[in-house]
Formats: sequence, structure tokens, C-alpha cells
Amino acid sequence: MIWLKNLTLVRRFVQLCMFIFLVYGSVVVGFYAADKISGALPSLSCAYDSMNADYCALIPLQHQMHHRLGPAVESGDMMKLFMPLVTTLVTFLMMFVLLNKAFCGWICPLGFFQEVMQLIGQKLGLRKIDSLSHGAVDKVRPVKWLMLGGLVFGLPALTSLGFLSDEWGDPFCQICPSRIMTTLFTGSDEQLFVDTSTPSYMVLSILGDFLFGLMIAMAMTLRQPFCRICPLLAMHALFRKIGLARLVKKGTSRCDKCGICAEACPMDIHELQTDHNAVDKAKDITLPDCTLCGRCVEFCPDKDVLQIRYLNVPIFSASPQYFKRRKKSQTQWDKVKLIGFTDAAKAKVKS
Amino acid sequence: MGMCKYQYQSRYKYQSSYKYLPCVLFFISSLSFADIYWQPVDNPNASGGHGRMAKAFQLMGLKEIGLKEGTDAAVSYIHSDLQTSDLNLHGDSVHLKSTGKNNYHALVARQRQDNTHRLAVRYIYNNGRPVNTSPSDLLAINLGGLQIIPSPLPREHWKYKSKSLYRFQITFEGEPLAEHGLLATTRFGSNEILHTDQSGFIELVIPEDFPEIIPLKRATPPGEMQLFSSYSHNGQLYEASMTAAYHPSESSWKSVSLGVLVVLIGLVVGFFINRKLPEHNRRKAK
Repeated sequence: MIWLKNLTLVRRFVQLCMFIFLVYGSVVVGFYAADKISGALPSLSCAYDSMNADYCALIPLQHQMHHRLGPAVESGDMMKLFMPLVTTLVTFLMMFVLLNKAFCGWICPLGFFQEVMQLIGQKLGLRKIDSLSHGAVDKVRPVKWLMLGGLVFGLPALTSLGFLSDEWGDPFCQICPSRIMTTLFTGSDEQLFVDTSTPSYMVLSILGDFLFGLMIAMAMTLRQPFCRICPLLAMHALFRKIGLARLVKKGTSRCDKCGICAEACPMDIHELQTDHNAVDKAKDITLPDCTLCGRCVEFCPDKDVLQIRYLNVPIFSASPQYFKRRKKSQTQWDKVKLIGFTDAAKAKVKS
Repeated sequence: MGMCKYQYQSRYKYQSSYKYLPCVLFFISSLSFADIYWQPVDNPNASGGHGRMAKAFQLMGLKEIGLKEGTDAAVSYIHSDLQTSDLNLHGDSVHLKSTGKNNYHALVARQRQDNTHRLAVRYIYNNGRPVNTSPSDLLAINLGGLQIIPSPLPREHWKYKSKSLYRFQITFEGEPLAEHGLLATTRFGSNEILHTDQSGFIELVIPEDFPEIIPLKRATPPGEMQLFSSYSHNGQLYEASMTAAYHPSESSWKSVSLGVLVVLIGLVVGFFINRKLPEHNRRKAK
């Protein structure tokens, strides 16, 4: 498409708009939780943000496990748990099906924040780690499932059943960097704290603050550090087959030697290079870690090898012309540095 | 824990208090003893939070204005879906049954005596099935006469907290009253007179005046905030009250400076890990 000269720029614009809308959108949609768009958004938009437009599905899921499981087991009426859970999941899916994993790559405020931090790190000339090794990526991948199973369902369930104290009712929210980031953006420091009231609250609050600092530092050099362990990414992975947006690949024998797509992927999905090569028909390659950001398609030099499709209609396809143009603009962009820490250090050593 | 007592602060603090001291004292005394207002009936078994607070409320001030309890005030309960039910006072109290509906409800008492029109309102959060209306719809209902309207109410699952700033609007027949007085008092003895701005709004910082604060969420029994205002129009006197529970600020057990310190440690560790991460070229060697 002619108008699509740089997909990343289009995406960043959408991300910026969604960031502003989700973090400050109460002025549009209304202040109360009842006014919010869905209450089960497939992106990390935080309910602790007093000005938000919507909040993520993980909040009601933890809340329902925490407050409904125990009474449901006690009364023997599991509908007390299933009905609200189903309501949340159906709401989540009604939105998720429209954009699939693009909720991560295009909508999520925390994802955008990490990308901005990465840009800042790059412009400051900090050491840039393009990719993690296959081994490191494979080790990190299961963490998102542990986060989903443990923090969103497991610990709130154990709390509800009386095995844990009340503090563990919403453990993911307690450590989620989005809670601190979005509230800070609204000018409030209320969520940046160490809670000294109980040992459990203290542990959770320290963990949350530490993770927030760690995420900022790592995002400046490594792409999307928190996204890799985000429980919403795991939830997206569960339902990705029903999404209308897809990443498809019809690989060629050249793919094996190229690998620029995997290098461009901010989530270091190495299967982009190795899977579905030399096949007759385009195959869905929307992998569990994919955020549908489209960078792999942008940096694929072969015509139509990678495509983003909506309802199986190609909306953005790899092409040699786009690749050349995009690579050139990326090279120019990478040269722009505000402070060349690395270069300055090298020059000092040489002198 | 130590005793904590703060004075009300406000962007619209009463100016030249000493000059108008007699008027202020008259205002305080007349309002605090003449108005009717809602107050929760103490329930030692109430577990607190999530809408499980005591659901019995007492209409205070009836005796002070020379009325028999239970006979002279009309009480209604506006549900979160805006359906209204009439309630009967038992003595000076009402016992609220669950409506099964989620979100804020409004407990409203109206009383008329000669040329005086009194209105007492309390917004009560209930758990239940979701409704299609918003608390803003509830607040938009014109109850007639003089009203003190939270702008906004604390969001669902949130609470009024000490040391935090809240806005209220005073309206008469739906129109905002500019430069109008409001008396804010608490059960623990703090009081302050505030004046509305041109749009009828006042901003109020709830004082931290709890006799004792237990450093844990929901552990300290809540305080009671009472807002009163009155207005004369065409020979009629209108009086309004709004009451709400408030809880201690969490700053007693949450340290922002420690939080910043931990974030900084996280930053340092993050940069350290970054230096140790091996770079990896994904493209296979040709």
C-alpha cells in the first residue's frame, strides 16, 4: 500500500493515541468503573489509574478467583464462580477477536512505554542488545505461563480457599509495572511505595517497585523485557487461533540463510526464520510470543513471504521495494544519537 | 500509634475568620444542630469493605428540630439502576436490605417543617449484579431544593481517605450556587467552613483526625464526614446534608521514598544485567 511508507511509524502513532486514550481517557468515557469501555481489555491498562479509559482483564479475573472461588466451593454452587469468569472471558474475547495479539503490539500502554525507553536508550548511545540467544529466549518463554497460572489464577485461588492471607488476592496487580507507570503519568505517586503494614504486602510492594526499575533499565537496551513475561501475552497465546488478524508465512529456501525477520522481531521469535520454509501454501505463524507488530514483515526482503492478514485478506505484505526503503530509513534513524555514550567512550580509549 | 490530628485545608479557606467570627460561630451552631443527616448504626459485626458495611442508618437531628422520630421524614432509597423504593423509619433508623444490584445507591431523607425544607443524602456502595447505569446518572438526579453533590464519588471499590482532596458541588434546583457556604465536620471534632467557587464547587482535604490509626488497610474504624449547607430563597429555608465514611490515608504505612529507593535499585540491577547479557547474531553465517 502506497500510504504505508513506514509501518512502524503508523504503529507508533496508533500506540501514542492509545496510550493517551487509555491513560487519560476518563475525560471522554467517564470517571467510574461502570463507565469504562469493557472492564476486560486485552492490554495492560491499569485500574489504579484514576484517569483511565478502561482496565485490563487480569483485574476482574484475579478479583473473581479471590472473592468467588471460596464461597462457590463452600456452597457447592460453582456457578457463583463460573458466571462472572465466563462474563469476563466473553468480554475479553469479544475485543480480542477483533485485533488478536495486536493488542500487545499496537494498543498496550506498557508495551509502548518500553518501546519509548528503548528509543531513549538507543538515542543515548547505550549498549544495544538486538537479540537474546535461542537458549535465553527458550528459558524466558515459560515465565509468562507461570505468571498467568500462578499470579492471576493460582495465588488468588489459594487466598480464596483460605490457604493464604488476604494480601495475596491480587498479586499480579501488586507487582505489575503498568500500575506504577500509568499512575506516575497521571501525576500521582500513590502507587510507588513500600507497604510496611504486613510482611506479605512488603514483599509484594518491593517486588513491584524492583520490577518497575528493572524493566526501565532493561527496556533501554533490550527490546520489550516485560512483554516477554507478561501474563496477558500468555492469555493471548491461548486464544490466538480465533483472532481475525494473523501473521502468515509462505517461506522460501532463502529464509534459512536470511533471518532478518527474526532479527527484527522485538520478541526474538527465532521460529520466524526456521518454520514454514519451502511450503506451497501460506501458513499461520502467529506464534505465542508474537505481538503482531509487523516488524518481521517490514524487514522481510522477499515478496509476500510474510503477510499480516485480516479475515485472511492481506493488509500488509513483505516486498523488496518496501524492504529497501525501510532499511534505508532505519539506518538513517539509527545514526541519530543525542549523546553518544558508547562512541565517546571508544574515542576516549583510542586517544 | 500516636495521636494524629490535622486541620482541614482547602483552596477556598474561609477568609478573615476573625472578622467574621460571630457569624461563623452562629453558622456552625445553627447548621450542626438544625440539620438532619444520616449516620451509620454502629455494628460490631460489620466486616467492612466491598459493600459489606453495616446497612442500618440513623437519621440524626430529628429531636433537635422538635420532631417525632419516624413520623415526619420521607425516606427513599434510590437504587443504582435509578429505581426508587420508599422506606419507613423505625424510630430514627432504617435497615437496608440488599437490592442485589451493584454500585452506588442513594439514601435520601426529606423533611418539611413550616418554611424549612430539609434534605439528607448518603451514598452507599452495594455489591450485586452489574447495572447499566453509572454513578454519574445517580448524581445527576435532581432531588429538588438544595443539594450537596460529590463531584465525583470515590470510584467503585475506592473510598474517601484522609489527607486527600475531594470536590463537591452545591446546587439549588439543579443550578450551582456560587460563593456559598458549606460546613464540613467530622465525628472526631474537626470542622471547617468552605465557600464555593463561581461554578458552585468546593475542594476539601479530609483531615487525618483519627484518635488512633492501625497501620493496615481496613483495620482502623472509619471516621464520619458530615457536610451541611443552607440557603434562603423566596422566604423558604433550604437545608441539605451529605455524609460519608472516610478512612485513614495509607501514607501511615506506605512509604513513597522507600518505593523510589527500591525502583533505583531495580534500575541499577537492570543496567548490570544488561552489561552481562551476551549479544547474539540471529542470522546464520553465509
